[in-house]
Amino acid sequence: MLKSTWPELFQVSQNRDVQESILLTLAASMLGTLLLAIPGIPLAYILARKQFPFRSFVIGLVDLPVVIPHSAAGIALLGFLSRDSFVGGGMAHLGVDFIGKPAGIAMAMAFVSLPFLLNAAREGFASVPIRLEQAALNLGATPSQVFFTISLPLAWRSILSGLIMMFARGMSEFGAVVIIAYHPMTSSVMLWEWFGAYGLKYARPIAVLVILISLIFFVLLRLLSKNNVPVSRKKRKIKNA
Amino acid sequence: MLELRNINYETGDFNLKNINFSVGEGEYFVLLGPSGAGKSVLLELIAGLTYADSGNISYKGKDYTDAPAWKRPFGLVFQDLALFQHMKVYDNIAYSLKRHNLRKDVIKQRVEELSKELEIFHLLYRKPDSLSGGEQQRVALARTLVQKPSVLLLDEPLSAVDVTLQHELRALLRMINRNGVSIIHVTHSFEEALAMAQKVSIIENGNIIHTGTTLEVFERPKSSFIANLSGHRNFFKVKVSHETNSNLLKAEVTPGNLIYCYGEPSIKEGYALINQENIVLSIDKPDLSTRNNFHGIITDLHPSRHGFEISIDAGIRLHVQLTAESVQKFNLEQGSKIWACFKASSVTLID
Repeated sequence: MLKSTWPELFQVSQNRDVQESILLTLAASMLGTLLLAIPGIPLAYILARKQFPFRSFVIGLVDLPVVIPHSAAGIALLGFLSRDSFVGGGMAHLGVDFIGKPAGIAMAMAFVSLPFLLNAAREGFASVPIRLEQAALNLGATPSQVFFTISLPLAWRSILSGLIMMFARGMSEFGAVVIIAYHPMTSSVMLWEWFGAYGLKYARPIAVLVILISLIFFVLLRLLSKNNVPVSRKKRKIKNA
Repeated sequence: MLELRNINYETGDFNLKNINFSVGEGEYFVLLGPSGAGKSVLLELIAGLTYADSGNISYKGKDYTDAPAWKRPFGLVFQDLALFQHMKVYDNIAYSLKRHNLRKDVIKQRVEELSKELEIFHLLYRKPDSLSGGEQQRVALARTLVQKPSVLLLDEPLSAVDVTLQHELRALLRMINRNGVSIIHVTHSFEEALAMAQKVSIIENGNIIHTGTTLEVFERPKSSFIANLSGHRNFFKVKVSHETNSNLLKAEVTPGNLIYCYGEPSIKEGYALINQENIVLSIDKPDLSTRNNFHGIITDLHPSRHGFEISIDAGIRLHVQLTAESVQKFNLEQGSKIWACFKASSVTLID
């Protein structure tokens, strides 16, 4: 990696295709993360708090996208989102196409990285004392008010951490994305193509650029999550130090 | 009136069996029992945090058995207080008011009024984890009281605070009760029950085994369990006054029957407790330094775990444990005259 020079990096960063692929990667991962967070966070709460038949099975199922080959996950998703399927066909009627489109890329990225959010959020919700939720109920709060005023704020740090991990993991996705949409190219697909077409020398600067940008976003988001630590916990940390 | 009728509740290895009691308007009701007897679960059932397998809970004739927790008019102060650590004291207290979409100025006025009454106004913009145990206890009370519950449920409210603070909190709870709030207070402390209760129920292994006034329940315990739970048979409701030129207090049981003791000078009314082990018996008038010397007649003498228990009527009724050897040696029997003596320092005064 160190063999890449600054002029090479600068030159690559000026390439319009590279710029577009990096923007697409960031935007698709962000969109996928935010879209799946909407059902994902309440699902994590249900998994943490409620008892229901096959709960353990569902918890195991959540991890499935992590353990199966991502190309296989892509093919499974393709069956789900293609125009021939119930969901894909229905969405196509509403004007939303997935295959070969940024929306499909966002879904592929989110599908394989969702376990990072679900597991972090589930642990966050599980660590909120049930007593506090009971106290809120006793103070006249409905279950949805308890969720938004007690459970969510207290589990927020874990949820934010999960969102960052989901976003970061989504950005790096290749296997599932390449099945759903080879074009438009995300940065990992472009890397793959440049490496295959032009060899290591040409692929290396873009690899360094993608790594640098991913690192910058990852560090920035981590810093943001640190700033969300409650003040009282910060004080305790200082005391302990 | 809050009524619990035939409540049964089973969870794993723990059962509440056929629980029946009622709490009148403005009544201070204490549920006394050892740890694990089912006291806290009973409060959770009333608050709707868990549901009974059978039976009914009603208030003023309205059935709340299946009502969700947020629709019940019962405010619960948890043993561990359960303050919202991510909110300031103000937001903790305002929490229930915000749920009812009251105007901000109305919420502010209610929170400030109550916090002044409970002497926590200066703490409103601090986080709960920066407060002392007593301050947290007051915040938890304020948070529950601000919603004006019809019945206040207290789960071991004095168990985690020191003796001085217990004194203050008792006064505070009495004040709340005097303002017309019915209270159900759960405790394992006999002294707490004695100090606070207008009516008391004893709970053992998920069963309520006796309900009545403190005098009814403790003076004539229905079972050895109640006698053991209290550990005291000699307690008297007293009016307290100062002995001139002395730090001694005079606790008047009935006109002319005084017990000398030491204690908080501020106590005007309360209970005087005398441990049986501190009572010395004598057939002849003893020449002792004890300040309390009562001459009376043995009205009852019956075998007990430690030998015999005798009851003496000396204007006040005293109960003393004796070994079988002592009973034989002094030839004690019903009707025998006897002196019962104890030091002023051996009397515990509870307000």
